[in-house]
Amino acid sequence: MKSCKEVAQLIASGENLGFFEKVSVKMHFIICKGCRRYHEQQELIVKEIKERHDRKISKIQKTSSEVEAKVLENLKKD
Amino acid sequence: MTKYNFSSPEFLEKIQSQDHQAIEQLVSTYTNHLVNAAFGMGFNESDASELVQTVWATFFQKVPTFEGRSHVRTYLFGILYNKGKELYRERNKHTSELDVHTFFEDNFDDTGHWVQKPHTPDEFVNQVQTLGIIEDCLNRLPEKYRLAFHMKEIEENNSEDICNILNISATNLRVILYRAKAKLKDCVERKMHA
Repeated sequence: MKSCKEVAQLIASGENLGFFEKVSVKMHFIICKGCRRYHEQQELIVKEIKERHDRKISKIQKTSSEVEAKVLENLKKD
Repeated sequence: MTKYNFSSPEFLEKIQSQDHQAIEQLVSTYTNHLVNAAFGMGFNESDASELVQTVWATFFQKVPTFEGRSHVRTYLFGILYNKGKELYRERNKHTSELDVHTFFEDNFDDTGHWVQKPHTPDEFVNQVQTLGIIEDCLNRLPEKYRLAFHMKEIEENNSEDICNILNISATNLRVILYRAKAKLKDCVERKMHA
């Protein structure tokens, strides 16, 4: 059985886990509340950051259009 | 309008000979991705705009000597990362490597078990959302960690691309990602108790 530290490292590495690693992490979750919570916290942080980034989409699109126009204009001048 | 294959040698030749149609297609395809990544690195609208214009200027300066060994996208994002690092320094953002021993050393005992169990998700999410502390914690990550995190978790790029852009190994990327996430969680928890 993996230790909590090993499970926490596996969860946070963003690695695609193989079948046996997934099973071993899931079994660990069944018996360990701490790692379950840690995993849920990690997912919440990523979700929150994604949502914050999504709220900036209109700013990103506006900035992109402006930059694109400027770059193409400068290239035409050259 | 001809649709170019950006990884073909013919396309590279067109770009090097300053073919307007090819250049326009390239700029239209990647400007949005570059701006998106610049925001992901924590730059505001004006800095992101300045940064991406610099990226294109550098690209067109260097393209005559570009041999096409990497995909043009990888090349562009490599320039973005390096120019972004310079801009970080100018803006006095955090550029030093993190003191990363903290999370894994402080939270587990010698047998690898939790010293203190993490908060329940409900407590945690309320604090994260209401205090709006995520942005500050993100700003504390070094640029390499932040860009790797953004490309993997937000843009969901594949690991190989990210490794090429940041010029790091797959093992190094895994370490960076777990350290970035551990640091974010640690920072959020500290701020919750501050």
